[in-house]
Amino acid sequence: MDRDTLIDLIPAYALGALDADECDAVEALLRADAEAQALLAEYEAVAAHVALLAPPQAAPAHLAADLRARLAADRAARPAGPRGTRGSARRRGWSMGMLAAAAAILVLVIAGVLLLNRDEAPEATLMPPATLYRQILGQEGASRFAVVPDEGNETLIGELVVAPRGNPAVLCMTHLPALSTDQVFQLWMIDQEGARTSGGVFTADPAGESVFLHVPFSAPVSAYQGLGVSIEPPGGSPYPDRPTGPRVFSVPLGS
Amino acid sequence: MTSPTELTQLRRIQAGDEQALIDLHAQYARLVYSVAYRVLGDSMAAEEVTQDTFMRVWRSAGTFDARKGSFVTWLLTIARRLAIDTFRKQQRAPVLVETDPEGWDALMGADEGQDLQRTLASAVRDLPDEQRQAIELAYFYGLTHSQIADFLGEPLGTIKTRIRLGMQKLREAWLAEPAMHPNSDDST
Repeated sequence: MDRDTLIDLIPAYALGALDADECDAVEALLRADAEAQALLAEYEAVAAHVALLAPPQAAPAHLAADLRARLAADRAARPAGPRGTRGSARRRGWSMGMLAAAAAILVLVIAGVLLLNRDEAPEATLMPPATLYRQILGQEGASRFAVVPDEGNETLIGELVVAPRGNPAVLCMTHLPALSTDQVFQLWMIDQEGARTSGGVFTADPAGESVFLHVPFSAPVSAYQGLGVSIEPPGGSPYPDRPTGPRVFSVPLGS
Repeated sequence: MTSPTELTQLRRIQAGDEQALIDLHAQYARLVYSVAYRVLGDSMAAEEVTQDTFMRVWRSAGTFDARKGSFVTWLLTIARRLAIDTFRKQQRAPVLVETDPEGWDALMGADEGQDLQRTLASAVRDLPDEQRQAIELAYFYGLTHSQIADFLGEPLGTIKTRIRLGMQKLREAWLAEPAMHPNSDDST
């Protein structure tokens, strides 16, 4: 292809519309031709405006709270201190890795997660939930689902992260409501038929910031329509398949 | 062009200031969500892409280079790629929609209008349908010339011409607005 032909392809290149052979040819031109590079920059700026062909949609109001939850989770999963550059992180090497491990343990302790009478799933992991959470987040293809607080718990934020193959999964929660001494939280897993199974009961230290909880799915997450957490008497609901107390939040898992 | 406020916000994000990201989210979530929804046609998937886009900004703010383009161009590039990745995994067919005659005009005030140009929004909307459709299929669904030709049942050469002519018209409109491109400062 001659130069004029390749220049004519730059608008389509800016849109990502070129087939592989033409794309390679245009990229070869761009490596050596300053005028072509400048033209591409113009077309890329122009292409951004094609976004305005999308009919305007109001972003759901809960997205802001969800973003805060993700930031809190991200913060909890990272070692304390200012965010360094990639270079400085590399220079710190092993010491940063050790700090990360220590921070994960510290978060777990401070969070004060107390798992009581938890039903163990076959895939239950012995890894601390905060560590598992961080590990899942680092995996390509991990899924994330936002916590949806119920009325009266609007300050609660959190998310469920699920490994790419659908299990294991960890629930991260921040600002859980305070419990009286004769209350616990109980996790419920709801399958696609609507049947509930207990995921165990837990409490949270009011001073703790984030609580991490391993969700004992017995099947990939796609087999479930959602999670819920209710407030129950000590030991949990007297019924194995339904809560008796008010729901604190839910986690819709989609279809 | 990227506003000084946005450059400051990006520097704050690099320093770990979460509120700066929240502020950018408040400003651009609607635009990002709208693009994601246009691609995916599903609110939950669009929400996921929207949030992933801003978390990508959170983790990659240091890679933004104002010399290469505006912040909103960078933001939309991230959003679009994430949405198209999801769309490809879903293996659905593209959907052509009617152009909204009002579009973003009424909404492009102090927010999205900082970086995106109202007159160019009109120019995009005013493209002949066949050019606009070909450009939409490339932009929102990541389709190539030949895939668009297959989808629309038109000759490949026809699709190439439609995209080139449509984009050239948009570039002319963009160049006619000196405030929107970096060389405009040369006249001062």
